[in-house]
Amino acid sequence: MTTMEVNMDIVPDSEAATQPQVSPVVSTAPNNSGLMVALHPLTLLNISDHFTRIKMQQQIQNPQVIGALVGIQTGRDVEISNSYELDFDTIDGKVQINHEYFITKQEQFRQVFPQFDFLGWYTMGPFPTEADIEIHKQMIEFNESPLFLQMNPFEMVTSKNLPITVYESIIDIIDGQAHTLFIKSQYKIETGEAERIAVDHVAHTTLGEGGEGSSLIAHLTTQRNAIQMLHTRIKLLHQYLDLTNSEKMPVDHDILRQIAGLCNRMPTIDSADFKQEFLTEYNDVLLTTYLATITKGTNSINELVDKFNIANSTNRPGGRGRHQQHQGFPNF
Amino acid sequence: MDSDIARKTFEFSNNIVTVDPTQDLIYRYDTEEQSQVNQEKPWTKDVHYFTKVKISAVALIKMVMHARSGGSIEVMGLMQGKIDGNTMIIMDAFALPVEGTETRVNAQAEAYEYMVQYLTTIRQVGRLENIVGWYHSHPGYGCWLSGIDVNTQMTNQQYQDPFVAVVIDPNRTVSAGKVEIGAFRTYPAGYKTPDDGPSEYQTIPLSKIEDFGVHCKQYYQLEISHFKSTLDTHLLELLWHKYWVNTLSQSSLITNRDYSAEQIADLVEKLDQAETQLQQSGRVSSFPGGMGGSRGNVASSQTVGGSSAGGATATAPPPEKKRVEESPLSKVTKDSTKITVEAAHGLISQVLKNVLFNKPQPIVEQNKTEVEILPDA
Repeated sequence: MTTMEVNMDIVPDSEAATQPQVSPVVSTAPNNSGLMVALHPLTLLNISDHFTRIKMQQQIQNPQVIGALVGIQTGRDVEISNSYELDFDTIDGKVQINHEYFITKQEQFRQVFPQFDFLGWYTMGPFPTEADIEIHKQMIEFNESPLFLQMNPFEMVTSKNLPITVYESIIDIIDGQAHTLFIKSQYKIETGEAERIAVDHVAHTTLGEGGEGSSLIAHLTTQRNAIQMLHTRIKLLHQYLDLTNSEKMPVDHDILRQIAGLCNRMPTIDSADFKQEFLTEYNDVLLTTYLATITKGTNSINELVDKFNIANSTNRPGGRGRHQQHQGFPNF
Repeated sequence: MDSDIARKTFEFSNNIVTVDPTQDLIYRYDTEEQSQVNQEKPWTKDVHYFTKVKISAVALIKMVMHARSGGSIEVMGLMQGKIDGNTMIIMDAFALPVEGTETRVNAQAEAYEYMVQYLTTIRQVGRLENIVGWYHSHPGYGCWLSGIDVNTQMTNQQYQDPFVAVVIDPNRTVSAGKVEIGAFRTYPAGYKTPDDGPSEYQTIPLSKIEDFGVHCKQYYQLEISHFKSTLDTHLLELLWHKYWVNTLSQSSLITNRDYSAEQIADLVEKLDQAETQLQQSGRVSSFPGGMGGSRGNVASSQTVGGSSAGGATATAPPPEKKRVEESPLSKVTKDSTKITVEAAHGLISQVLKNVLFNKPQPIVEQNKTEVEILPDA
């Protein structure tokens, strides 16, 4: 199990994928376009929702779903933030995207999110096929180099990695003819703070209601989980180093360089300025806590005095003529 | 969340299906069933008919992100879904191109064209549900319905029932680290709620508290729960492998500086107000069954307190009412505790990161506790 972990994790998201790539439309040339794709979890959940919905409505095993990806592209950085469904008709076995629908939908999206552009399209499936190339060509009308995202719903349960592949398209000359081929792209998951909280909330809430005792516990649990992930990763690296040291595994200098780089970055920030800022912030929070505690204390005393008041004053209407209410009064 | 164990348990106890017919049944939209329910209209007979709301994962995330993207401007959108007994199920949400929805009653009117167009187009791709509600954001001032919202919702419930109003506070969500959301339905005009039970206390800024108080009895809150599809569950589990980094790296103290400063300023105002209230008003103390929230100020009023307290409290308090009205001071205390707790959480994250990344101690020295490490800095 441990050696398997080493193999699978140390070769992340690169061309040497674990499953054999037999698709004729995917080029095996290395991707050096430098395009960095950042995916938001919302996109993925949208796609999965689309798929589930269509599947439940049409009741077929493997429905075809096609949709568009939108987001922001600045230079070589692509950020895919959202997605929506596309309408298509199957004419003679070929898929035709409904242009009108697309234009209308794009317009609508612009009204609400004016900064998002059409960046690509998505579908479900294990690997790209000729049909996908055809659809891709139709997409080129709207964006010169659209991205193609493919999600494999069936692989999801068995694999530890996200069964999502992002492809770019390149024109390759094969046998004197220009073919459009797909080439895999690297991607990473990016979240905004609000998105992360929402996703976390949905991920860790059971179908019923998981009432937690205190917010502190919830907060610490999330932190602990994250740190646990970090710990697992570091253990893995440690294992790798052990194995290379005892020569059970071939040495890969690239990885060693990266590990060395990682170690050199510790301590992360150690300047006097940082310490100053950190302690200032620490003291601010402590001050807030102190003030809140004082407020609480004041409130308690206030309540106590009031209760004391009541206890003493109700003696009076008893008609016993005791003018003692001033007696026990502590004058503050 | 040990995903390895979770995955193995999942594989052990279920067949590996991408779409589980039982769990994902909720995604099936039965047009006939829905139109039948719409004709029967069981909610017209009972004002309190709908008690629960189920929100899908996608809808929730979309709403939260839309609310956050509006910044400090209120944004709104509509929700699509269906009815199931006395639960309203929300499958999806979409944004409307209107802003600043707290300034006019029917902001929706501006977006009618968009709405109609959206509905026609979305039906083409298989989303057949009707509009069952609207959502909007209250950036920084909590989840409740303002006077304008109440009016809007009453109109909605009159003409478009079944309809639910959802409010999201994106600022509080980020600062507290959990989603701040509430679902409400209004009572028809003139309806008196029989049960005057105390609702859960909320921190509301001074500028809005009057608006809140005036209308808070005109609507009731529904219970919110969430659901997601099997595919979503898988995806989320795998996503966790990627975004755990963000959990550690994002610092709530820094992202929320403005918001926390605002909160503290508001708290100061409330304290001032509480103090003046205590100084001016009578020495009537509040206790179960009594009225008002003013109490003797600790310093000044004690001497005068004894004499008048007796007279004012001569009326026997009705024994069965358990309504405890809180004094302004205890409300302020609650607010300050909340602010502090959130700030403390943020600080905990910072300290954790500091220990993790700034103090590469050799393993031998691990006997030092974390608390002791800090003064060394």
